[in-house]
Amino acid sequence: MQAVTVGSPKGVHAAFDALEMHWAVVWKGRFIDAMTTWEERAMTPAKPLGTLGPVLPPRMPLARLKSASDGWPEAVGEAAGYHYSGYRLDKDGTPIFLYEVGGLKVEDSMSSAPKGDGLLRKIKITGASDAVAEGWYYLGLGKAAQPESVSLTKGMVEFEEYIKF
Amino acid sequence: MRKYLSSGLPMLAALLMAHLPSVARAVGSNPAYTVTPYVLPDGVKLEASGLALLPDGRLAVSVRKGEIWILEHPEADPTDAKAVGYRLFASGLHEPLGLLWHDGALYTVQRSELTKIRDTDGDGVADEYLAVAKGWGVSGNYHEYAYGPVLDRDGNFWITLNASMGGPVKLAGHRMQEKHWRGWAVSVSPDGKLSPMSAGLRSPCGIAVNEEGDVFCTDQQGNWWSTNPLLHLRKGAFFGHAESLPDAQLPESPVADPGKLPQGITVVEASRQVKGFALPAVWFPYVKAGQSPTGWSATSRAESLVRLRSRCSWGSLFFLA
Repeated sequence: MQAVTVGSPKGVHAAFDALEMHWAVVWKGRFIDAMTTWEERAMTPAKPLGTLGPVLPPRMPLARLKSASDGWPEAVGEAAGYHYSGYRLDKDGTPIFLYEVGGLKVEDSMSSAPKGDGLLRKIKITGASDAVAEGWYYLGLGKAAQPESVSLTKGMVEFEEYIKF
Repeated sequence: MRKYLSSGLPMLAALLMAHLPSVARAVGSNPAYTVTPYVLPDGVKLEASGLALLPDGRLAVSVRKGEIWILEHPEADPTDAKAVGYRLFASGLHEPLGLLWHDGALYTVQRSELTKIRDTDGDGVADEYLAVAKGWGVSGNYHEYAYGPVLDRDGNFWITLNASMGGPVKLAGHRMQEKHWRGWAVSVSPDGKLSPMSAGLRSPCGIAVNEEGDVFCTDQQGNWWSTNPLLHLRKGAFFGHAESLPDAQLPESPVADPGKLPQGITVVEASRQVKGFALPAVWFPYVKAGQSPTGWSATSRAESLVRLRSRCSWGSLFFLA
């Protein structure tokens, strides 16, 4: 994992794995203590402080399937055909992670839910044409999530998921 | 990476290769360079790891704890922090060890990627952190420092990667099995293609180019290095540190796998026996000419310094002390 941690003043936080290109950990309370990354040579990893939220499945959000009932692929990151492009900060400083797969461009972010009782995950998918997304499915992070067809309108579609904890 | 600058901007200390006995004196005081201590604003700690002069005269400074600061008026009274104007430009970086201004953006090498950083809305603070290239192995071992980038004459970025010290660390959640290209210099084309170039490095923390666009780096005394060298990096060269060799067997490697390295012979003998072995451009006598050479720059402009004429034809050498 190459974690990019995203903290919020509302006390709900998340870590994105820039190596495998999916969300890895969510938690609430205190953020992280980065001291261990520079205090000594040993450089032990920084751990989330506070209380962990639901365990997130280590899988990619988009996959090309024959039908919605197919098994979700296990491959992650570049092995799944994804390419990491970095992130952009929106006006309030929230990082929007950028990656690509199969001609689709993805913008993926987590921000605190309005009441502060969890996170709002937003994923925006764009393509050069609506046909690029043919055969592609989106799968959310929750236990009850089911694959949903990615159908672009004017080259774009958005999904939202409320991760309450 | 033994020594970081503890505060302020790096002091430039001249190291006159042609006059090694005078080095100790040169570090103390030398008419060839000026030391300008900057008085920093309260709470700002500039553990400088990279400097980049912007076209408009501003100075960008990367710091190892993950930030880039911009000095708005570096030429102002250095004791007046307000006049100099310190602005936090970028943050949240993972140990940036180098800084380059290129094509309207700042480029730095984080532990795991080459990153292009821009302020796209003009508010003076970076809002775009694009990954230009990644893909070298990072296991979590403390010694996996990554340095650069610098640009060669063809417009490719060069990055140097420490050998891991000991085995890779398998952290919780670690699923990437390979940790390739540790102890290598790699290049990145303008379109982001990563290519391994030279092997056999240990802790190659001082990477820079001369005025002709040749890429060099310093390395650090330790296992496989009896003293500190300055290395002329180029495609296919192997400089002697053995930990990088397993990757020479990979199809992408431009370095021929030399097989088992001979033991108990001098480096010069090894350079004759080992296929592809490249000797350093310069050996620095240990302690007498520095203990941990870091960044450097080649210049021919300092007229008061004796120019070094070598086969690499670079000018006077400066060391960041």
